Parts: sequence; C-alpha cells; structure tokens
Amino acid sequence: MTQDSSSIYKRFFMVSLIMSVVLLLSAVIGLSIGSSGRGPWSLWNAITGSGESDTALNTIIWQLRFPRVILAALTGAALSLGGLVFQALLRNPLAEPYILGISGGSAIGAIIGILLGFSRFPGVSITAFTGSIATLVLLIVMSSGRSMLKNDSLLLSGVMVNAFCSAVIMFLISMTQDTRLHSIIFWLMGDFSTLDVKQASMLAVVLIPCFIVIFGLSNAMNILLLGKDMARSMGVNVKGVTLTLLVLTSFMVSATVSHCGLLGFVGLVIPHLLRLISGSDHRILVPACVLGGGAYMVICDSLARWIPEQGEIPVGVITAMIGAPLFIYLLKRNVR
Amino acid sequence: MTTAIDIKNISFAYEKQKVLDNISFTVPAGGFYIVIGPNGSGKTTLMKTVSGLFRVDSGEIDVLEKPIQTYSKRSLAQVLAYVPQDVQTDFPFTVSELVLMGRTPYLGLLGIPQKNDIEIAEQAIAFTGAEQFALRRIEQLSGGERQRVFIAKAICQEPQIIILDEPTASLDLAHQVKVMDLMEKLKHEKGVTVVMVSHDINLAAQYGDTLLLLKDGSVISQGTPEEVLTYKLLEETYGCSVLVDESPLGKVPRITPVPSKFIKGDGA
Repeated sequence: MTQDSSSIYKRFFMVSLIMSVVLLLSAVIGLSIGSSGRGPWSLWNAITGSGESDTALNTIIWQLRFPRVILAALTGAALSLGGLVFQALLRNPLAEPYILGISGGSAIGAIIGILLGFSRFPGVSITAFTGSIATLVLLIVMSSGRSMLKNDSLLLSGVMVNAFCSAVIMFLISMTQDTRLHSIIFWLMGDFSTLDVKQASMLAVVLIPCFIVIFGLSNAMNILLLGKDMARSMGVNVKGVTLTLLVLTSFMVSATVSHCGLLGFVGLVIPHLLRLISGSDHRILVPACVLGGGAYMVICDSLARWIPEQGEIPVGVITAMIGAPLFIYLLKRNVR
Repeated sequence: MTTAIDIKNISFAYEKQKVLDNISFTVPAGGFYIVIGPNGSGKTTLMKTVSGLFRVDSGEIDVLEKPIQTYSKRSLAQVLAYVPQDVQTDFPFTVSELVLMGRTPYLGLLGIPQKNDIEIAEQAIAFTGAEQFALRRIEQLSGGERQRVFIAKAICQEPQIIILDEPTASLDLAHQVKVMDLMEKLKHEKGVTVVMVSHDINLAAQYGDTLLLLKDGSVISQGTPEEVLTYKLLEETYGCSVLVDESPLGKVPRITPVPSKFIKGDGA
C-alpha cells in the first residue's frame, strides 16, 4: 500500500509548504513591481526600514500594492477552487465557473447593481450572487437536473449560457451612456487597481470561511468521483454535499466578480497544473489550489502592471491569453 | 436463524411509472440470494431500494431486523455495501486508494485512515486476489480486475450484507467464475449475506441458494433453483422457448435457450 495516514499528512504538508513558498515569492514580486518600481531591494528597505527610507515608496507599497496583492491572491484562490469544485462535481476537467457561464451571470447581476446605483458592498455583491445562482439554476435545468453529475451536455449548455450572458452584458453596456461606462468596461476585463485595504479585508472575511468549508468537504469530493450511487452507498450525503459546494462556489465567484470583474480560465489552469504535481486527492488539492491560485493571480497581476510602458493591461486579458490555449489543448486531449 | 433483509409489500414508481409492485421476500443471514428476470423487470431498482438509495412509496424494508429508515447513511454503510452496475471507471485513483475509500463510513470528515484501516484494506485486496495490481490505476485494469477491486472496496466496508448489481455482466467466462467464487468464499469465510442481480440464469442456478424471478416489477416465483427454474415459469417470464435439464455438475437445473430454427423444424 502506498497510502497510509502518515503519507497523507506528509504529502499534504509538502505540497502546502511548496505552494506557500510560491505564494510568498509571488507576493514579493507583486510588491516590488510597479511604475515607481526600484525592484525587490526597495521592498526590503520598506519592510525593514533600513537603508534610504523613502516615505513615498513606503506609501505606494503598503497603501496601493499590498491590498492589491492580497486581493489578487484571494481572487485567484477563490476562482481556482471554484474550478476544482466544478471539475469534481461534474467529473469534467474542462468545467470552470467562467466557461460554464457562472461568472457571466454574476457579471450581469453586478452590472445591473452598478446601473441601479448600489454600493459595491453589499448591494452589487448581492445582485451578482443572484445572477450567479440564476445561471446555475438555468444550467442545471437545461442539462436536466437528474443527470446533473454525469453529463457532457452541461459543458455545452454552459458555453451557450456564457454566450448569452456576454450578449446581455454587451446590451447593458451599449445602453449605458454616462461616465459609468468606462469604469464598467475596465472593471469587467478584470481590475485590481481600484480597491483599498478595507475592501480586500472584507473579501478575505467572506472568502476564507468558504475555503475552510470546502476543505472540510474535500474527502467527500474524492468519493463523489466514484459516482452518485457509490458515494451514497458509502454514507456520503450526496445531495447535501453537492448543493453546499455549488452554492459556496457560486458565492465565491460572485464575490470575486463583483470586486474584480471577469477573470476567466483561472479555475482551469491551476487545478490542472496542480493535479499534475500532486495527484488527484482533493484533501491535498484544495489547500494547494488556494495557495497556488493566489500565487498565479498575483503573478498575472504583476505581469499586467509590468508589460506596458505606461499604465497597465486588464488582468482578465492576461488570464484569458494563458487559459484559452490550455483549454483548447485539454479539449483536444479529452476528445482523443 | 436471523434475517438479513426482510422486504414487505414494497412498491416504487419512477415518474408515475410503476417499477416495483408489491414485492415481498426475506433473505436469511448468510444466504446467497440471486434476483433474475428479463430486462426492465425492475431488478436494478430493487437493488437500489434495498440498499437505501431510493425510498419506497409503500411497504417496509428491514435490514438486520431493524427498519431501514432507522439507520443513518453512515451506519447503513457499515452493515451494507452496494456494488452498482455502471461504475465509473475513469477515476485517477490507484487500486489501493480506492479500496481504502471503503473505510469512509468509519472515518472522520477528512477520511484520514488509521493503521487498522490500512490493514483491513490490505486484507480486502488479498482476499480478492488483487495484490498484483494494487498499485495500478483503476482505468488501466481490465473489466474483470476492476470488478474484483470494487468488491474489495465493498469488503473493506466490513459489511454484513453485500448487494451487487450484475457483477458478471460483460466479463469473460473465467472472470465470471472468479467473481462468483469470490462471493461464495465471502459467504462461507466471513458469513456475509450476498444479494445480487444476475443476467446469467445458469450462473444463478450454480451459486444461488435462493432465486427470485422478477417480471414487470412483480415477483413471479421465489425459492430454490429447482423450484424457480422450471420450463413453464421461464417461458412465461422471458417469452422464449427454453430447455431445462439437469446440469452435469450436480442437481441444479441447466437452462438452454432454444433457437427458433429448431422450433420450426419441429413443426410443434
């Protein structure tokens, strides 16, 4: 037997340790990069207070970059975990909140909230959550609720739901005339720049409990892979676990969408990479996705700030440019 | 003798279509009980109902002399293991990982196994003769090997009752016998009650001590193989001509379906 209790612990700690280091490194990169750059040494100086102390740079690092890194890490974690959960529940490595249209649904909800003049929290978050749940329900009804856990039709339904959501989003945007237009478009493409420490900590308070509950259900996710009947006959509350996971995931996705816009394919890239490294045990994958997804998003955001000479590109552009080719690759391999 | 499963007048409808109609039977502890019948007769539904996966519309199911609804999902899983017909086969787990999952009803939320859980899993793998592929992944196994692994997983649950839905379907002859022998060994060595659905009437006759013949959700007959497998009952139930004689191996009946060319030639 390869697996015993100590080896599960060992693998858990090894993978979590490695991913923590990766996250820490990415945070250093995220804190060091920016238009008033000066590299990691200035960060070192800012942290230790040694060397030439630069108050302006200190402010930039702690007031602007720090909340941004936290926010990116939380968003990446939530979206990767969302992808992992959908892939386990639908038994399809291509399932992902963005591809299935859940993100699109919450974006519609969020835009409606913004147009109605709600504040970002709780108003827009609530309309976004409503939008994501509505798409989820639509998706399940479309692919006929009973076969929910086994189907291929769901992915196709999701792609169509996503297309429809994009159309509605375009419609809403084209109907918007005033100054909100620019901010909506920029937010939609994925934007970490407009947020402060308060919003970052609010998102943390909302998301971290979700991470913990999903970790608690990670073993049930393993068993669900064996099929509904088998899982139920082994004492797993299939309906309860599935529903909890779906609602939590939609909630996490809508929270990130309403704060940072549409960031696609993160939930595809990270779980896929981590499965290659650490195997398929969700008890190890869930923490790995939280840490690794966080690191990935921080790096994507750093790239978004580093690539252009001036200003920045929306993070959503970067995640899609990395994620979409991988999706095509996985699709091709899956068909074969 | 104690009873493992006692079914009283159960009925079950699936979207208004009656699948099980007033079925009653009793499986004594340590019995080898085989359900046979034509396609669509409700065999799978019956197994799922008895395993607690479906709730019946009316009637009572007692497991180990206690009503099934008094069990929690976990406590039922500790006494009754179910091996479904259409098991998924594309999981990324190794044989030993999968078998160890059989311990789930005894473990905490995160399913961290202790030393004795691992020993039980190792014994289950040895019992089913799956040692030589214990480290391979499920998707790399042949159908027969895979079926033995799922049985090992069920044994790892340490159940008093094991329910299997057509465990020999789509297996070659050697593997059919291997799986059925394994069930017999389970019954004799561990005293586990075996309840299964079988497509193969001859295998059922060889191994079962009680057979239940099902058609359109109703019990046509139940009893020993000699009582159930009569020419008249089988022709009525399956709607084709069969020849029933004695198996050269012993007293059990042997069923031979008769091709229509022989019937025509007869002129009968």
